[in-house]
Amino acid sequence: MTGARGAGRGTDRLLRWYPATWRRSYGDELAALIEDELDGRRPGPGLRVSLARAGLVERSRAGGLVGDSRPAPERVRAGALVVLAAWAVAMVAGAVFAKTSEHFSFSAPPATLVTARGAFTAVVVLGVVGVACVVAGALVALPAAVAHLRSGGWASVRGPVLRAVVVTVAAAAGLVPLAAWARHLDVAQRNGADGAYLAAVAAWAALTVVALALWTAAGVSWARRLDLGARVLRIEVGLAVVVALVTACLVVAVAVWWAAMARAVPWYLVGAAPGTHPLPVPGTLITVESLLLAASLAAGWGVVLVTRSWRSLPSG
Amino acid sequence: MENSTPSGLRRPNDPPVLILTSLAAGPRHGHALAKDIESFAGVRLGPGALYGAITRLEERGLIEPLGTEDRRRPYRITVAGRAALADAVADMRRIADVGATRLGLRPGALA
Repeated sequence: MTGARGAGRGTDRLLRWYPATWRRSYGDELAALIEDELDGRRPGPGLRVSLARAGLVERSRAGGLVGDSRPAPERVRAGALVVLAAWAVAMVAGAVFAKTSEHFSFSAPPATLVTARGAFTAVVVLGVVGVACVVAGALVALPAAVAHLRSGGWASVRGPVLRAVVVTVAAAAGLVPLAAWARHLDVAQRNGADGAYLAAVAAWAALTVVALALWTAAGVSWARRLDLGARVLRIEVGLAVVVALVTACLVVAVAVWWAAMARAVPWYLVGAAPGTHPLPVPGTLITVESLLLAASLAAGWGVVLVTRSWRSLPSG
Repeated sequence: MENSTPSGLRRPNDPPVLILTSLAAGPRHGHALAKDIESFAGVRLGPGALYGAITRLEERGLIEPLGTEDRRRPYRITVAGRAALADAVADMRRIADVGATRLGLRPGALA
């Protein structure tokens, strides 16, 4: 239901960017205005983009991400959830980094890799701390989630959760034939020499990223519906700040690892022959750092949202 | 840089100012608002921008909806909206007067 009763299907589609509550209040009249303006013509790309942008702004406002029209607890929660979404991006970067840094410690004598080992350990520790914070955040919200389910809330989150489950099962099922295939390949084939295997691994990785994104979306959708008390919100905010700091530290730790490896074993980073000195700028590490930087900026924005509304939280 | 008036409205071509100015002449629905604004300000507000501003103005109690007429809902300016528009107009006038003075014109000469 878009609220645009009697409007054409095309107009309905144009309004899909707006949140349902907004469409219930203004959908009919906006649809009427669009039809008046178009006067029978098809909507052009300019109108589509303008409505998409305006609809996303309304969604952001409805979610407490923009403006101050939502109550302080909702804005604080929105900030914390932005940090959660940023952490999901950092997890993807972490997975790419894990593959990029595979077996790096065997690339040179230990004495030449002291800094790289230290930076790698820092990345691992930071990753563990970040995951622990996210798990702790989920556990703290668990009683509210159970209460939400008991009060009939499953219907409101069933769609996102089931989508995430289906894609996760598909990714897990895809791993079985992939592992069986890998057993029949040598090391070179498993690392890119076999194009078909490489494409299959890329497809599986993409499916895994989609699963992570869907779980994050489901978590955000669910968390927005929970009745979290001020005390729980304060704990979530504390955890979100730690996760944001961890994400920022990850950017630095990966950069240090990259620099240390570039100095000690540049050939390792780009898969060149040992002992050579190629330009140590692999696309994978650029991807990792870009994702981490984006995650760090998003997490920082989440913390700003949280701190802006923090003082307005009710006590208790 | 502070770009809002004391009433929270921005400067002349900002959609909320244009909408309040249009509604100061009487209630109008979306299409009539867009046409009127285009005629007096030369600004064509798209549906997205227009309804974003209408939402914000209604939230702040500066305009209010009237009964729906065939899916077209007219809005009218509230007392608070008139006060906010008066603030914005006074602010714009003050800046215009400063500009006129610095150009060697008599304040209000361009009005």
